Amino acid sequence: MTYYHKLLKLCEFDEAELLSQKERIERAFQILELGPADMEIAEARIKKYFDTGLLGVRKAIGVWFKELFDLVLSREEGKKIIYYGYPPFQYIGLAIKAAAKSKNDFYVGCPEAVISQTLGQFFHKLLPVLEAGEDAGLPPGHAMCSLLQVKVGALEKGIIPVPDLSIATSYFCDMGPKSDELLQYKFGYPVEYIDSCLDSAWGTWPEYDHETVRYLGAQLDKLFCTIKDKFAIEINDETWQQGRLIAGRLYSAINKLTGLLAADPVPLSVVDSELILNFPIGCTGSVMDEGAEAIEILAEEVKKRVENGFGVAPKESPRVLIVLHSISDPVVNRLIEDAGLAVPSTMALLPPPPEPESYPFTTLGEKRAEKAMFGGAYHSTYGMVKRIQASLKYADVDGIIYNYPFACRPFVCGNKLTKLHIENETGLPTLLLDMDPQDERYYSIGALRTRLETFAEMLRARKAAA
Amino acid sequence: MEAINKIKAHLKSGINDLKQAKDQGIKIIGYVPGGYFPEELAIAAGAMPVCLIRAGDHASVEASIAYIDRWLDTFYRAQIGSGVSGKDQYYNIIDVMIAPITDSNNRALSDTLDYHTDIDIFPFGVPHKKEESGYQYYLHGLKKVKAKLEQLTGVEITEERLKEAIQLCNKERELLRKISLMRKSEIVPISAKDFVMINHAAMIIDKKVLIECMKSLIQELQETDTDNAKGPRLLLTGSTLAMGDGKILDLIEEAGGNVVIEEFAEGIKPYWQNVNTSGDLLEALAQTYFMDRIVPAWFRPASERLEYLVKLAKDFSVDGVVWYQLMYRESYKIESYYFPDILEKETGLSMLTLESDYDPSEIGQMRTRIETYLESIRR
Repeated sequence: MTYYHKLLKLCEFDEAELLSQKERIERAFQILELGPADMEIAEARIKKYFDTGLLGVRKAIGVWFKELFDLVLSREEGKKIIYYGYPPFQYIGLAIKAAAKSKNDFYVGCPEAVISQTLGQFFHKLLPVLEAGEDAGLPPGHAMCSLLQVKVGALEKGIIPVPDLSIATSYFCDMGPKSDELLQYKFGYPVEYIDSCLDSAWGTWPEYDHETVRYLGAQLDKLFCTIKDKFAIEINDETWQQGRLIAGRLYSAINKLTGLLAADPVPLSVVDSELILNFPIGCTGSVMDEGAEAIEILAEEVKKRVENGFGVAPKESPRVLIVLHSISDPVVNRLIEDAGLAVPSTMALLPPPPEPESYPFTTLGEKRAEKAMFGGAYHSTYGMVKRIQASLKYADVDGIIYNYPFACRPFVCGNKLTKLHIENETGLPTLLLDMDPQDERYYSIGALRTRLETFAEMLRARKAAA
Repeated sequence: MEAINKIKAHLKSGINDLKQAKDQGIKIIGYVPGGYFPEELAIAAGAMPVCLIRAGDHASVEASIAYIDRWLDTFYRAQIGSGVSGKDQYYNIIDVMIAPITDSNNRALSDTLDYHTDIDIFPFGVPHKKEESGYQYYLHGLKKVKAKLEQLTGVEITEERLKEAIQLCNKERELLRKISLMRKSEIVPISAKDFVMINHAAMIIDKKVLIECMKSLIQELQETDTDNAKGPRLLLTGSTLAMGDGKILDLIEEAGGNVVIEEFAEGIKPYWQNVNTSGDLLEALAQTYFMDRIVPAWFRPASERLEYLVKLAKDFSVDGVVWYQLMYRESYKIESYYFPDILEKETGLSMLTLESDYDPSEIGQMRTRIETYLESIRR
C-alpha cells in the first residue's frame, strides 16, 4: 500500500483513481517535499478538525488535493499557466477556461489560495513556504501579506511553476501587484496589471463616476487583447457567459448550502463551510464539477441535519456573521464555535444586494467594470461597508465578527470605520478581530480565545436582556 | 546666507500668512503631498495652496491609533492624528483638502478624515499606469478638481489665469532645478538640509516671495566658495521626507556624509519638468504632472523610478545611496529588497536601507548604521 493511500482514501479517492493517478500523485508529493510522516499529520488533522462523518466534507477535501496536484504538475504536464491575484476579478479565470479550445491546455488559478488550503489546513506545513517568501523579498516585521509570502515562497522553493502570465488587480491592494513586480524581476514572467482608482468619495456608493468604469473597462479590454495575442484565446460576451455557466452548478450548490446554514441550530461547523469558500475564488479546475458535486452531497447531508434538529452549537446560541475564515488554520475557525457562537454565514457567502439599473456601456470590459463598482469593494471603503450592511438583511445575526488579516491594507484601511458605521446604522455589536489567515506566528490562540469568549458573553447578555 | 534665513523666516510665519489671507476672504486649499495636485489650479482660482506635508512628531502617530490600525504608512497615520486632533493649525485653516488618491495609505487618510472631521475632502484618482487611458482618467480628475475649486472660490479658472499660474510655478520649478543642479559639481554650494527646506517652502509659502528669495540665493551661491561636500556624496531616496522629519539629514550630516540629491514620493516636490504654456493647459498639466514625472513606487510597474535612481546616482557622482522609508509603506519596502542588486550591477554602489516610525528611540541605531555605512564607502 502506498504511503498516501489511507489519507487519500479518507478524502474519497477511489482505488481506480489511486492506481491511474499514482505517478502524478507521487510526483506532486515529491515536488512538495511531503513524505509518509506528513501523510499521518494530514490524516490526523483532517480527522480532528473536520467533520469526516460527512461524505460531502471528505469529497471537498479530496477536491482540494486534486487542485493541488493540478497546480504543482501543470508545467510538467505541458499546460499554459495563468495565475491571478486574490481576490480575483469576477469570473476572469473561468472566462479564460471557457474560451480555451481545451480546458486541459491551461492551468488557471490562484496558487497562494490552493497552497494555503492544502499545505496549511491539512499538512500544517506552510511555515517553510512563508519563510522562503520572507527571505525572497517580503520580510517579517513589516506587515507583509502572508498570502503573498506564500506565493513568493512557493515560487522561490520551486513547488509551483513559473507562470506564462500573471494577472494582478493593481488598485484594490498595493502589495499584490508589487509582489508580482518583484517576481517578474526574479523570474521574468509577464504581468498584466488591471488598473483603476478607488477614488469614490465617502457616501457615494452605489453611485459612481462613469469615467472610473471606462478606465477600468479599458484596462480589462486590454487584458483580453493580451490574452488573445499571447494564447490565441478570445474572451467576449459569449465566452464570459459560458464562464459563468461553468460556475453555475457550483454557485447553485453553494447557495443551497448557504440557505440551510441559516437554520437554528446552525447545522454545519464553520471549519467545514470554509472548505467551499475558496472553490470559486481560488480554482477553475476539478472544483467546477467535482467541487460542485461535493457541495451538493454536503447540502443533502446538512438538510437531514436540519430536519433532525442537529446543530454544531446549541439552539438559540448567539449568531454571528464572520467576514473571513482562516484559510490555512482550522484551529482558528474552530475557536468561534468553541466560544459558544453559531456562524450561519460569512460575508463572502451572503447574496449581494439588488443592483441598480445598468448604464448601457458597450465593451465587455466596461460592463464587467460596472458590475465591480456595484460590488462595493472595488468602489471604495464606503462601498465595501455599505455592501456588508446591505447584505445583513439576509442574515439573522446578533453580532458581527470582523475578522481580518492584520497585514491586508484593504481591510486595515476601513476596519474601524466599518465597525463604527455598522454599529451606528444597525445596532449590531461588531468585534474587530485581527488575525493572520496564513501565518500562525502572528497570533496567539489564547488571546483570540479570550476576545471571542468575551464577545460571546456580551452577546448572550444582550440576547437575554432582549 | 541671507536668502536662506529669509526663506526660513517666511516658513516660520507661514501659518500667519495663511490666516491673514483667510481673513481677507482668500480660500485656503490644502492638499495631500505626492506631486499629483497641480497648485496652478488653486492659484488660478485666486486661492492659496498649502501642502499638508508636516510630520515627524511621534505624538501625531500615537494620536492616530484610535482611528486607524498601526499597519499603514507612518506619514499617513501622522496626518490622520493631526487631522482628527482639531489642534493642527494647518488642518484647521484649510477650506478643502484635495486628495489625489494614489495608494491604500492615501485612501485611508481621505476616508478617515472624511468620517471623523468636518473637513471638506475632495478625492480624485491617480492611475497607476502611464498609458493613454490612465492619462485620460487623470485629466478627467483634474477637470473635477478645477470645477470644485471654481465652485469653492467663485472664480472662473480661465485660460489666461491658468497660464499665468503655470508661468509662476514654472519659474519656481526652474529656480529649484537650478539650485539643485549646482550640487552636481565637485564643490557643493548648498547643504541638503537647506535645499530640502527650500523645497518644503515651495509647498507652503507664497510663490512670489519664494521666487524672489531663490533668485537672491542663486546669486549668493554663485559667489560663495563654501564646499558642503567634504565627505561621501550620497543620494537620499525613499517614500516620504516630511517637513519636520529632519533627523535623517541631521544624522547623515553629523556623520560626515553629504546628500547631494534627493528623490521621494512625498516631501520633495518634483521640479525637473516645466509645464507647457501653449495648447490646452489642462492637458499640459496632466502631461507634466502625470506622464512626464518620475513614477513613485506604487506605479505598476515602477521600474522607471529605479532606472532614474541609477541615472541620478551617476549624474550626481554619488558614492552611496541611503534609502529612507517609513514603516509599512509596502511598495517601497519591496523595492528596497531588489533595488540594491540593480544599483550594484549598474553603478557598483551599495545601499543602506533605513526605516522610521517617527520614534525618537530609533535615532541611536540609525546613527550607528549611518556611521558604519559612511565608513565603508568613504573614498
